[in-house]
Amino acid sequence: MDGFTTPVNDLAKACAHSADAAEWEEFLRRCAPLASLVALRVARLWVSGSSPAMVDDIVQEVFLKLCEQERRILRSFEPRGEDSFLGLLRIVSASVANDYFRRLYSVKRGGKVVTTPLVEDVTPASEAGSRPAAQMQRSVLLSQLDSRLRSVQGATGRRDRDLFWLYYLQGLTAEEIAALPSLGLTPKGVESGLRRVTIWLRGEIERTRPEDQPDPG
Amino acid sequence: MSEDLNPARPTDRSDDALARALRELVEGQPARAETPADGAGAPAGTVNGCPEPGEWLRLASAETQPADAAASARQDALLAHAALCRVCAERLRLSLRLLREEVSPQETEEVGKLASSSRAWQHQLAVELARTPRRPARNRTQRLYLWVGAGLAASLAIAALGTVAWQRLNTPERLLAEAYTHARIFELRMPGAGFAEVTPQAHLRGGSTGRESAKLLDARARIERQLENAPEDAHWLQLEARADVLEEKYDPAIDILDRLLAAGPVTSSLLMDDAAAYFQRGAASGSENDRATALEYLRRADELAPADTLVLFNEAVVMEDRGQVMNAVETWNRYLRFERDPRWLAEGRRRLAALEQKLNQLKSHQSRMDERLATPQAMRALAADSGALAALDEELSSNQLPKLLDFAYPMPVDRSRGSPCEEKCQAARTLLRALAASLERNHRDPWLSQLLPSESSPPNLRFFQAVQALGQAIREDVMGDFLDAQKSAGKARQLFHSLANAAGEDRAEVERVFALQRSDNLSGCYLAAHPLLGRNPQFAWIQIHDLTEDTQCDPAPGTGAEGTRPFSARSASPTIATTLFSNCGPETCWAPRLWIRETPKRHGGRTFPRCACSIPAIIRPFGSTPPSPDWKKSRKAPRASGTHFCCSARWLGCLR
Repeated sequence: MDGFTTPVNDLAKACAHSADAAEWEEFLRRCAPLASLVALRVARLWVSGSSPAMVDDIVQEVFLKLCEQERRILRSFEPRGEDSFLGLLRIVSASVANDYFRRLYSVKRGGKVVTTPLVEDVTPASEAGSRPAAQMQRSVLLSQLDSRLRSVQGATGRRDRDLFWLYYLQGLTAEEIAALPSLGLTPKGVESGLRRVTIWLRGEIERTRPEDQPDPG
Repeated sequence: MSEDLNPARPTDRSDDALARALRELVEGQPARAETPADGAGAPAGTVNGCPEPGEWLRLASAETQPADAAASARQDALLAHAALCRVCAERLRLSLRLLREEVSPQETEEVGKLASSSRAWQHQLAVELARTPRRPARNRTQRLYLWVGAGLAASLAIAALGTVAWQRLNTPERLLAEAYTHARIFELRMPGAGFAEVTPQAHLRGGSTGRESAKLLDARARIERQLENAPEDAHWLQLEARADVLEEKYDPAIDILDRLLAAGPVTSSLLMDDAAAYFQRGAASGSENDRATALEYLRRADELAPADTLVLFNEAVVMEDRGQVMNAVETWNRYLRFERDPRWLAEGRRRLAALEQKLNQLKSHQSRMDERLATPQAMRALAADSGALAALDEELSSNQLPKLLDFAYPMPVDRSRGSPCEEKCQAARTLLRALAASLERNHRDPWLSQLLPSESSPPNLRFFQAVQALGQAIREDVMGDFLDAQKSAGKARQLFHSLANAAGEDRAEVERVFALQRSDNLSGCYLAAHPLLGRNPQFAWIQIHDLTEDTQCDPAPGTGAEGTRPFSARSASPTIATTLFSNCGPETCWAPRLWIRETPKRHGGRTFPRCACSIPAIIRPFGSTPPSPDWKKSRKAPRASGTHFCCSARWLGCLR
């Protein structure tokens, strides 16, 4: 098999039954960089400074995973487009890497993986304890803004609050937010939602301003 | 979060400060400045209350929105958390970038430095991976074999199914049924056959046309092959007999079926087939016994299978033929309850309607006839009405003759002195004389005129006795009491002979001939019938009847070409033939005289003159089929075709 011209999908299908090391070597040459990249990105999720050895271990685990149960993943692979195997490899690598770190932290904690309960009531002011007064005042103001946003009931209100803080406070782009499948929005939709919630918030602040106070300007 | 958690909340100029904070947030976006650059790692570990990093990966890589409410709530909570948690927001960002194809230069550099990117590392791992357990691949040849094998198996299965279906569709039973449907040559039904109108045979019975149905020939061949292997198999023998019936070979069919019935078990199917063979043979030969046997078998089949529509249909047809009108009506009604085939159902309804109509006509006709003879006044009125008499003279001189003779010539109470003829007696004699005149005028039939004594000379006692004996013989023949009929007719013949009354003598003799024939005394019948031929040719209808009986009782029937006696007799009697054929026509229809020859039919104590509205016995061999125009050329023996009994198609028209 000519590894330089063979599509990666065919290479994967061939390796499902092959005992030829050369064929496998070509397969690794084409697929190892992607597995390494995904492993590297997952490592960043878990640790601030990941070691190359850790990533190499993950890459090795990825390919061993492909060969489990008489190479079940490779055998059951059905091409769904050009180089579609790389998409599968990306998912497998992320899963293996994630499992690697979960296992690692589980061992560090003494065994069983413990998923910490999700605390929703994080506020913009929750990290203000050790900050200077100006930052503290800003946090208080952000908390007030958040309470205004929370006053809107319903699913749309909650979603708009998330959009607002993810975009303006956490700095995610509209494209990044739109990439979240659970929101089901396009980048345009994200921008439109941000515009709507901003206008509403301004109006809400204006509405509650006392009439005897002069407009600052 | 609530405002209560923030005790340091500013109260002065709070709205201005809030507006300013919003403006700074939206325009200045100071928070973004704090966002770590691409490639920077997330804070290690898990912050208190934050979900583990894998949760963000799952949130980012989820393909669609969650289907269940719990998962949806979980995702909403994660998003709400990330919206206000810097660490988790960064993890979410990293997770979103994780599956992207774009690679930053920094990432490329980092990946390049990994040991897994080196050829040596990859080679070593490749060797290990190549040794991992695997399943051998199915190569193309194997796949091809698999497909070819599957195709062959499928083809064989289809072929086997097709063969089974073909065999089921082409069983000899089915082929015979289809042959029947293709050309239904008789009225009785055959098992499994679809509806078809009765089509008369184009050939003479017993003769081969050379154009037998292909299905019949096919069925016959298969049956014969089966019988070669199992000559005593009851099933195949029954089918052979059924094929024989379809080929009009009734004698072998009856032989086979009688043998099967004797051996048992007796089934309704066997009885029905045997009945069909007997009935068809009886129809062809005119044998009353055969048709009576057919009815008996069908009754037994009816007892075994009371809801079998084929049995009921055939039974009703045979009952109709046997003149059992009331029984036939009842059987047709039962048949209509069970039959589901719309076309057979329609035929049943049609036959029942025709039968009921016939029955009603009979009843009304009988009622009217009884009224005509009920009183002396009625008889005189009829005698005076030549038109009405002309319409009834046939029936009065046949069916009603014994009653009229009884009325006109009752036996004297005091035989030594004689009895005075009362009013009824006088009226009956008047009617008889008018009837004789009508017969001579309308039919050129002098028989009754010559039978009756002249008005000038009153009849003597012997004439009374002769007339009474003749009437008695006619009644006994009608009632089926043939032995008594022979005696009565013989006595009447002797009395008329002593009176030199040729009309009475011939009439009595032909009555005796009929009784002998019905008693299966064929030699006696022939000895009586043959001398009568040509003796008094002026009594044409007596000659016709005698010729019929003579032929039926002839022990050596044959064709004209063979010079056998029946034809010789007819050929030697040109006068008779001339009389017969010259007298044929609507105005000289002799048939009614012969209607009374049928066996009486009793139903619940009532007797129906079945012949009054049906074709008389002597033309029964024709069935309902008009004779071929070239019947004279066929010269077929009477028992084979019976065609020589008919003088012309016009005669049949007259009968109907």
